Amino acid sequence: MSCRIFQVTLTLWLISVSVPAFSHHSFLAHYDEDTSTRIEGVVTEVWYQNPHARVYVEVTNSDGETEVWETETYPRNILIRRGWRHNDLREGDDVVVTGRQARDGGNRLQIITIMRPSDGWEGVGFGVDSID
Amino acid sequence: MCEAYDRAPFLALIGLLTFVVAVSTNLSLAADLPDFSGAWNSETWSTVGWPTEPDYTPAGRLAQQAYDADPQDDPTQNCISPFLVHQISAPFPHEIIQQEHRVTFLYENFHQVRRVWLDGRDHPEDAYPTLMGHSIGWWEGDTLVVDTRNVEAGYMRPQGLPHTESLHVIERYTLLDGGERKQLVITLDDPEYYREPWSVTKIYVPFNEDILDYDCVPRLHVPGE
Repeated sequence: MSCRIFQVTLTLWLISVSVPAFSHHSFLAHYDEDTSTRIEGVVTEVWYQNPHARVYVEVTNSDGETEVWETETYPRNILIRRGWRHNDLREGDDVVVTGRQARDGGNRLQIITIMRPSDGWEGVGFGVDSID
Repeated sequence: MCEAYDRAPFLALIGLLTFVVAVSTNLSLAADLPDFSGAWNSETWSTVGWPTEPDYTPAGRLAQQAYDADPQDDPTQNCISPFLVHQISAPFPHEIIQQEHRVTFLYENFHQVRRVWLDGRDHPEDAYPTLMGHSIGWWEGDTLVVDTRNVEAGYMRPQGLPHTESLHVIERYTLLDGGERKQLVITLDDPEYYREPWSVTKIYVPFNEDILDYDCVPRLHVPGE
């Protein structure tokens, strides 16, 4: 698959009781909860660890340059219990990831969804009320 | 002399009866106590019930603001084990080993172990504070009360909620629904950082999966750095 990057910034306007829960969180000090960014690319590394698992994805930006994004999700122990086994995702897999981008504009996402189009596999991302 | 010998069988019988009654009473008491043994996991996600705007003192407010300015202060992000309350609130299961003189909590998260002494001892004087602090406990009816002091100054949640070494933690554990659920009411009292003690209620359910190993590996690299 050609690696392209689609950055779609959406204002989510989370006007709900979940907003106060976001107000002081280490994750959300890093990530902007009001945005959702979508990337497509090739997995270069799966960091299946505690305290947080990470998937590194190489994407091609609009200038045709490749860049590596760090995408982050739950700890390994929670991934195991939710069905994401250690060898489900491998280096070289094509993936589509949506997530909240780093506040500093860096190439980092807190994963909301992660999926592999070739077979429809879906990983485990953070829900809006389950950030810890 | 002869009278003493004559009374010996009678005294021995009294002694034996006293021993039997004492042992059976003790066993009976132990058998009547709620049994928290086994593995438990939180019924709801870890963020539920924890305040985001507690009633800080000025010093507590400053400590929270300092935390907000540098979230890397969360030790667990760097694979440093959490402080007691952070551990209790974390979204991982734990196992309880219940003995008459001690209740032991085995937390999956960071492999932490916590011993709650039920043998009547008090907190040590002038103890060096630790992540788990020093816990003693007792029974109030069917409620296991755990009293903890000497917790090292730190944070109660990934969101912050800082505390000093003055923190006094009271946990009250009860079984609900015939043992199908476990309720914890945890009360946090740190007058240096909070104007009033405050409480959070957590419900646990039996955890029928394996408690897993918990290796922690800090991130190796960040793109662009």
